[in-house]
Amino acid sequence: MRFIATGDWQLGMTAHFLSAEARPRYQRARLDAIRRIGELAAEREAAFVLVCGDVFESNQLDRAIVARTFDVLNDFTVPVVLLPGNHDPLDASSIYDSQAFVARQPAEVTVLRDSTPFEVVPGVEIVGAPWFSKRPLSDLVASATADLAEVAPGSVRIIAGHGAVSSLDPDRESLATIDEANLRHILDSGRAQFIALGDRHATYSVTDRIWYPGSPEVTSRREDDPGNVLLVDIESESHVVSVEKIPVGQWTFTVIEAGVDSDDDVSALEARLAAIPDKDRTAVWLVLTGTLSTAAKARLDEVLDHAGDLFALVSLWERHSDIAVVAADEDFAGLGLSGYLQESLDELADRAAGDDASASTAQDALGLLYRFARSGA
Amino acid sequence: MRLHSIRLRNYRGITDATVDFSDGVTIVEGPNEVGKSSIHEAITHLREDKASSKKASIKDLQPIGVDAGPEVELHLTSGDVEMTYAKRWLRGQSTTLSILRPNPQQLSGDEAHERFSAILAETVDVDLLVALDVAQGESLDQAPMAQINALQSALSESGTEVADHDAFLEKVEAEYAKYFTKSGKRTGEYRSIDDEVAAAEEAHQELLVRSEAMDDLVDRHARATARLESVREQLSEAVEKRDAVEESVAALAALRSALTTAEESAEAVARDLTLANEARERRVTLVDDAAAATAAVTEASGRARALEAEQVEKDEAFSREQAGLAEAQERLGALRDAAKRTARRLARTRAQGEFADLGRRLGEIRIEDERRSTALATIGSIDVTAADVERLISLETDVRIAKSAKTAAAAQIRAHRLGETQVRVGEVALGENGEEEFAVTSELLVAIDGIAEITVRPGASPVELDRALDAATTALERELERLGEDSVDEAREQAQRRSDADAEAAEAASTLKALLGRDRREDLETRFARAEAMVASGDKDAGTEEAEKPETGAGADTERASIAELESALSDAEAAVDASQSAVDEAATRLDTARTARDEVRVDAVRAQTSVQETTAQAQRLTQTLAEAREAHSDDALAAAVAQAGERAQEAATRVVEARAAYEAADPETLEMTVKNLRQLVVSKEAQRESDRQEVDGLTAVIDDRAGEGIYEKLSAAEEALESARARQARLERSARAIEMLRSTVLAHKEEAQRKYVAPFKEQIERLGRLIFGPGLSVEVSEDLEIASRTLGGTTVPFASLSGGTKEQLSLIGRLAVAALVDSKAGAPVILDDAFGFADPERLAALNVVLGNVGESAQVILLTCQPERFASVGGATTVSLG
Repeated sequence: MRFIATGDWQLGMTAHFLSAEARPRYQRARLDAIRRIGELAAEREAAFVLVCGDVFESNQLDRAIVARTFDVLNDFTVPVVLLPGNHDPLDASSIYDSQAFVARQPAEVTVLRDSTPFEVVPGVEIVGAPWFSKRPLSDLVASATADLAEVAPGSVRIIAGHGAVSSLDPDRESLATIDEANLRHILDSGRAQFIALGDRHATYSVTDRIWYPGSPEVTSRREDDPGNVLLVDIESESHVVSVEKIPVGQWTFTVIEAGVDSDDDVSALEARLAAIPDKDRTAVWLVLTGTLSTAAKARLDEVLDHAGDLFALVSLWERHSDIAVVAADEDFAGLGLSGYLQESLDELADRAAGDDASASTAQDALGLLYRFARSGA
Repeated sequence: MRLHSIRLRNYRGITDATVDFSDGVTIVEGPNEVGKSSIHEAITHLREDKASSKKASIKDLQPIGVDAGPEVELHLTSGDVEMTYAKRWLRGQSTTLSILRPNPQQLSGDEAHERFSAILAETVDVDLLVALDVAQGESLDQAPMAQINALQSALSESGTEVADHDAFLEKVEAEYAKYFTKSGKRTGEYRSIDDEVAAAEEAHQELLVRSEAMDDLVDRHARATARLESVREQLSEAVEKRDAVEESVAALAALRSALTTAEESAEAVARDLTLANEARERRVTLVDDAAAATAAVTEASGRARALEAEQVEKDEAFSREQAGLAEAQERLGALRDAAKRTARRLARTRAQGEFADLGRRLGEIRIEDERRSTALATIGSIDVTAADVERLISLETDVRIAKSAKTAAAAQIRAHRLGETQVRVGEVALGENGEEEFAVTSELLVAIDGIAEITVRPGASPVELDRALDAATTALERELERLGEDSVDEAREQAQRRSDADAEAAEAASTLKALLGRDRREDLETRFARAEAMVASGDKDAGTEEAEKPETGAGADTERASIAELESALSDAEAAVDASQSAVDEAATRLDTARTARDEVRVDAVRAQTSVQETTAQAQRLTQTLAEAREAHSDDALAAAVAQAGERAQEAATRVVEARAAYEAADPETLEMTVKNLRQLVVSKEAQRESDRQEVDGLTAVIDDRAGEGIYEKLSAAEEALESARARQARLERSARAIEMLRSTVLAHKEEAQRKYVAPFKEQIERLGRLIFGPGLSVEVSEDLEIASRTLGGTTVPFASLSGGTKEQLSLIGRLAVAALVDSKAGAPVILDDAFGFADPERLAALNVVLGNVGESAQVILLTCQPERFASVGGATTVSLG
């Protein structure tokens, strides 16, 4: 028996940090990734697709997203099982209870509205632990699995949950943390064969049978392995499990760290950026540190401006960057500065090298001086 | 540049003149209109206007009546080139340039003109040339020094060059203008971005609140749903409990009902017992009453008989007393009649005495009263009193005195009858031998019977005497008239009569008083009349009495018995009457007593008889009733009924106690409270369930309404807008600060450079100027190398506000300073045409010193019609024109 485990589709999510041009493309890309999951399921003969929570980014979404989602899901050839997570819990405002959802829900699509075992295909049942509010007061998976009996040979039971397992959750006090020991115990006692979890957007294996498939399309620069789905094979009789990670995402959010202390460094950065493929589907956050001459800084600005035109985003991550600008004599030597301009340059250079708050302003002022003098020369 | 000489031919009024210039100061003097200004003008024309020029200013140069055109020849050295440059305009036009040094060359026509211009451009600053050339009337203005490169280079040598960074500055200003206005206020996007950020923040905040409100609604919904679930459970639990307790309540009601039935039954039995007891008691009473009634009849009959006997006795006693009273009353009547008669006799006797006394006394009184009345009438009829008489006598005396006075004055007649003949004097008849004197106071007839009648008339007496007599006579007569008397004697007589009457009246009055004593006459009269009447009636009574009692009548003598006797008799009679009266009273009292006793007995007897009747009837009735009652229920039957009812009551009471015990054992009070509480609990839980259900429904409706509107997308868009605006704000802020810093730094340094740059020029001006204005002078030189203000003695005045003379002096000092600063080769001569016209002698002297000083390093040409003004310029060459 084979199925696709995925989660955290976060449909409807916007990426405000992207450029205005890239934003709609990115949103479309999130649906395109779902479409590819459908194609992959058909291609690899998966029996169904299990989505472990956070199908939608929020319950407060414009309901148009439901129609667009169904438009994609209608093309699926296998059942799709959706688990409400912390972003789209089954609360009073639940998108799953909306008219848009209920009225047009495709036959192949099932929402796990409680923990009643759901036989998605003959011999395979899914026990879900849906979220009913944004702040559950207990380990939902533990509750959902409390009364499960051992699975008979020939049948397969899969647990679908959402949330952080105890080994991942830095907040040990959180009431909703999923007890990892309990999960292991369920698997070890043969009460389930595989546990798929949502919430973590990067693909992550807790054990060989407990997995976070992650988001099929990247959502944050902090994710270290996003954009995948899991193709899970479970031998019905022996209950042997094998998991294959398959990338489906097409977007990349990346952080580039570089030291820039010379014009050569700037050139190296330029080359590095140039080498990145699919620039229009890539967002880059730059963490740059170093000391540049006014001219080199001016060139860095040009390089970044140019890159900004190509990439979905090129942004200097100010909080982590630190570039000092110094007025190098050679920068201004050929510009014919004399008299009071030279004196002004000297003063600004001094201030730019200072420690006070006006140093960065002085650096900027030097940049301007350099620009004006150069264009006049 | 050095001017060596100039020659003018046929130039305006000048036919041919040559002026040589020294290297220092040359003073060109000459009277007005000889053409001093022409020298200055000619150099300009020579430089600027081609020989072919036909412009008006050239045409004006042509002298009248001269065939040849105006011609100028200038010998000068510019840079290293020494040359002679000549031009003739209008007629016989020509241009000639003879370069003498370093490479001699001869040029003519336009070539010469072009070459000359080229040499000038190479060797001298034309702007400086123009600036130092001051035409007549131009001396008040400052030259545009900033354009003079020669000055700039001179300043650059000594100070710091102010680099030409205008293009850079323009860029700085253009960049600055993107963010700031000229006055340094924010402008454009930099100004509006704060508002945009604020608006974006507000929009974002609004959506954030809305989104959180939505979350809050969902939370509330969850809580309300949980509450609803909980209250539903509580309700069903409460209903269950209530139903159980309601059953207990029904059982209790049955016990209560049994108790009530027992109590009612007990009450009914008790009523039966009471009725039986009452019946038996009534029977006993009836038997007693019947017996008592029979005894009462016997007693009443006995009493009635006794009272009837007593009544007969009392009736007899009463009759006796009645007869006794009648007898006593008869006796009393007789005694009273006797006493009355005695009293009448006494009264009559007293009246007769009084009648006599009063009659006598009243008679005297009447006499005296009459006497007094008569006297008073007399007095009333006479008015003359003794006082009147006195007065009359006095008046008569006055008349007599007046007469005697008149008489004394009148003629006196002494008549003496001598014979028989009757002689009469006036009214007086003289007796025989009678002699009498007469005063002739009036016509006096002396008649001698038969003989003569002599009328003697008085002569005129003194008027006063007559008047006095008349007055006295009149007074007397008037008094007499008033009193109604004819004469004094008459009056006297009347007065006498009146006096007598007075005495009579007084005497009568006195007598009357004595007679009346204390009585009034009317009372006496009344008493008399009463006594008279009494006497009269007494006579009549006496007659009757005598007729009635002839045997007792003692006749007149008896009748006339003394009052004392009568009074005594009366007293005796009255005593007898009183005694008799007492006897009557006693008899009457006894009679009343007898009557009362008789009446009481009579009433008692009647009552006793009635009582006998009543008791008899009562006894009969009771006896009959008893008989009838016994016929219905015998006395034994009644007693049996009482006993039976008593037993039944005992049984009923026992049943009530049992029922009550059963009821109270069920604890009705606790049960009542419990069921009441449970009923209320159900009601309140139902209400709470309804309230929670409504809240859930309401929240569901609100959430459904809002859920699909896309708050998330809107919030994301707002967040994006906010971040974008903030980023833009940061960018603008950073850029604005950068350009602000660049601009302020550059401008500060430029200003400093400028200050340093103009320093030598400023110093030169001050050096020269102090000769004129004194050691306290300082000037401010602008960026354009203009004198902006002068400071003297601590007071700073802008150039434009200075006086004409000072302006001229400062302007020319500025030019002289330039001339002094600029290298003598690159420099130009200072040409001053009619300058310093505004200077006073003192300043002029100082100017002479300045000019001499400048002349040491620069060429100065002064054109003037007053050479003495520049007489003290050291080292000056004076050239006379014309």
